[in-house]
Amino acid sequence: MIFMTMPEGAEERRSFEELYEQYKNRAYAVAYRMLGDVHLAEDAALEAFFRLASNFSTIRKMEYHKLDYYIVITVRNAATDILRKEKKYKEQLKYTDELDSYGDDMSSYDIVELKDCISRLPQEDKDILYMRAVLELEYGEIARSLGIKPATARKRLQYARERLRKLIGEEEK
Amino acid sequence: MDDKLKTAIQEVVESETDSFLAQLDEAPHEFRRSYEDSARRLIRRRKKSYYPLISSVGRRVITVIAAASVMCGSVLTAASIRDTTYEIKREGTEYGYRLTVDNDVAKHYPETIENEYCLTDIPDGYEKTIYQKGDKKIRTVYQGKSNEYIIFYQYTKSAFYSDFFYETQEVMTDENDRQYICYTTSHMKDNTHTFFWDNDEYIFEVSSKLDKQALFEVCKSVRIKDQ
Repeated sequence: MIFMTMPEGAEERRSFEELYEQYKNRAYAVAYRMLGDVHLAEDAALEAFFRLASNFSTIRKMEYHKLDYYIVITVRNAATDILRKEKKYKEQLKYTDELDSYGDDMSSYDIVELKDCISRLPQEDKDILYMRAVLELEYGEIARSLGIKPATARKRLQYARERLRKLIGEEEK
Repeated sequence: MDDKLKTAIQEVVESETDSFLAQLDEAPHEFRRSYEDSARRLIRRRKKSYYPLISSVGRRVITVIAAASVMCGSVLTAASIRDTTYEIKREGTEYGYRLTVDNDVAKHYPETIENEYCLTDIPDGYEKTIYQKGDKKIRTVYQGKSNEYIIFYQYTKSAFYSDFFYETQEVMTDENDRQYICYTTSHMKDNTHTFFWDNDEYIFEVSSKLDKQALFEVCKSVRIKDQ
């Protein structure tokens, strides 16, 4: 069986413990706000820390203020997964070949329009776009953050881009 | 990705997250014991199996046993199986089976007993008659009026082993989601129940001919001893 491992050593352990202590209450608070249940929120927080542990080598290199956002995003996604499992949240990702044709060059758009369209995206789309575009994470790192396979991360990112393109297209009409 | 898009994503997500965080109540939360155990385990190892359902001792043991069936009862040393069940392994011996913790795993846990635990809910009529404390193992025996007994062991993971013949087994879960594996020996018609569990730092074992549920309550009463 495969284990997601991190560099060994006392220093890494201490760093992770510090991270855990610093963020455990925030992680719980984020999860509780989304789930409204103490036990589910704890489960989500723990799952998020598992994911953070699996990506710890990446996290250690992250700028401090971005780490805050990354942790919130990781917890939010862990909580969303639990919501799904609890069948309180249903979203079907729709994918068509037509959506494949879009590129990423948005230089011709006004940034205010872009921000307006981005703000209307589902939270998951915003999160994965942020991880890729701002945190510059690889697909494998995004996958570990979200508890999914790299291929799924790639697809989700693609769907997010395409949904954004569609929103921008609607704005233009 | 386009710079303008990147800036837009950053501004939207960070702004929304800041608003979200501003509404949060981040008061310290008292986590469940099982949560704290899992978190400590995570901090210690910083790794996780893709199969969290076998993260408890009981389920790992079950997995070992299932694997043992596949391997026709041979000693479980194949790497793939050890990875699945890295905390506890069950080996066939000349007389039956032996439960142990792999040395590579045990080295991450206390080498000697630093925190001593005790049973805090012993049935009426039982008295402590034996108490043997070593660096890595503590054995306490409680004797009833009709010569019944309860034996309680606390082991470091490196010192833990337990031998038995063929026995039936069951996994029981307490209110804090902690799992215990219970073996019942019936070959001598004595119906002795033996519970094993892991509190992350140590392995515990409690044996008795008491009713299984009553003995489970005894197990659940284990608390850290006032030093």
